[in-house]
Amino acid sequence: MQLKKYIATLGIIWSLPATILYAQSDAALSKGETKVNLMYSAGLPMGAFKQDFIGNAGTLGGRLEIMHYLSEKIAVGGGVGFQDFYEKKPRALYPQRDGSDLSAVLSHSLQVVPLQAQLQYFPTAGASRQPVVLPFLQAGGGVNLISYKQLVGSLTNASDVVFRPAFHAGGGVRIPFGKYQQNGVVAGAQYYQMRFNRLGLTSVNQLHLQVGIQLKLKADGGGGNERRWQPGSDRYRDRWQPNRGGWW
Amino acid sequence: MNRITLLKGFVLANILLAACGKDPLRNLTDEESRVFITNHDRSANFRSFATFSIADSVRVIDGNRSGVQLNATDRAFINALAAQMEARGYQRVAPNAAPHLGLQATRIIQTSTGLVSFPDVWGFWDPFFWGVPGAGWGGPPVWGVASYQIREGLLSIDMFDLMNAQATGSINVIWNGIIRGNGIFNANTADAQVRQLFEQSPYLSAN
Repeated sequence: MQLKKYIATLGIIWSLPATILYAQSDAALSKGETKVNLMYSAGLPMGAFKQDFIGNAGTLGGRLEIMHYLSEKIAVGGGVGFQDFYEKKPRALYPQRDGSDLSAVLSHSLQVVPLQAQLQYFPTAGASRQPVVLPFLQAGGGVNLISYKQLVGSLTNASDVVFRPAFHAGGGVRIPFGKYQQNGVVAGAQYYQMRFNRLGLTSVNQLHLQVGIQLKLKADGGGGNERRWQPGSDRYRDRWQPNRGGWW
Repeated sequence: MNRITLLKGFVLANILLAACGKDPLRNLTDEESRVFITNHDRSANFRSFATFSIADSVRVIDGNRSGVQLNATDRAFINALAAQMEARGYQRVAPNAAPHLGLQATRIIQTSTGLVSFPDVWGFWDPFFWGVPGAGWGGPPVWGVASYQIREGLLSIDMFDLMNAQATGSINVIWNGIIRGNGIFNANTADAQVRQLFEQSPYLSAN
C-alpha cells in the first residue's frame, strides 16, 4: 500500500515538468554524448526489509552513473551506488529455543553497493518545443554487494558480505543548466528489488531518492551538436564566421 | 579538467561513505552493550524454597586457572543478589544454617569465537562449602553453551537446590543468569545488572 503511495507521488512529480515547463531548449541531450551523473541518495527500506530488519531511512548514500546517449531519447550505461542503513532496537526479551530468555539491545546494520547496467528513456526529448525539464524513465539490473551485521548487545550474532542480483526501475527529471544546457541537475527515485537470503529475509527491497548533477564527459561525433546549432550561439561563433573561412 | 578530478573525488567520496557506514558497536553505550541470559529448571518449584545463602566471594575462571576474590565490585554483586532474593521473599541465612538455596557468582574470562562452551562452571566450587561433602554437581547439559562470540569476560550467577541435595546426592543448578557486555564488572552498576536478571525471571519468588 505504501509502495503504491510512493509510486503515485513520484508519478505526479514526474509528470509536472512535462506538462508545465515547456520552452525552447538548446542542446540538452545529444546523440553520441556521454554524461556522468553524481548524486546524493537517501534510501527507504521497503516490505519485509522494513518490517523485520531496519525501519529507519538511510540518509548516507550516493551514486555515480555514466550514460551514453544513443539518441536524444535513449541512453545506456551503468552506475554504482552506496546506501547505508542502520537501526538500534530498544532492549527487549527474546525467548531462545533452548528455553533461556535473552535480554538485549539489537542493532542491525546493512550497506548495499548496487552495480547496475541501465537504460534511460526521455519521452519528451527531441520535440520541437522541448521541455526545459526533461522527465525520464530508467530501468536496470546487475549485481549488488551487501554487507550486513546483526549485533545482540555488543555480541556479533551475524555478519557477512555477499553478492546478490538486484534490479531497479524508476524515473526522474533532468533540469539543464550552464551555457549550452549540456549539464544539468538530475533528481529521481529508483525502486530496487534486491535479493537477500539471510537472517530470515528473502529481500532487502528499497526506494532510493536521488538528487545530483549531470555533467557532459565527451561527444563521439554522433552529429547531435551540429543539428542543434542556433544562430547567436557563442559556442559556434568561430566556426560560423565568414571571415574565418566559414562554410560559405 | 576538472570533471575528471570531480569524478575521482566522487569515487573517493563513495569509498569514504562506505567506510563511514555506521559501526553499530561504536553506537552502543555500556548499558546497551550488555546481554542478560537467564535459564531455569522447569521442574523446580521455586515456591518450595524459603531460605538462601550466598557464597562470600566470587570465583574467577581465567582459561584453565581458577581462584576466588572479593573486591568492592564482587561485594556489590553479592549485596545486589541478596537484596533481590530478599525482595522475592527469600530469607538470607548463613551457609551453615541449612539454606534451601545456594547462590554463587563466577567471573569467566575467555577469549574465543563461535560456539562457546563453559559447562559446569559451578563445579569449580567445592560442595563441602555448601555442607554436602562428596556430592556431585548436576544440571541440564545444554546450559553453559552460547552460540556467540566471547571476547572478554562474563559474569555467571548460579542458584542451586541445597534442600534436596542430601537426598539426591547432587547439587542441582536450578537457575542461571549470565551477564555479558562492556563494563559489567562495575560496582556502580552491579545492582542494575542483577535487577535485570531477576526482572526477566518472574518465577523466582517464595510467595
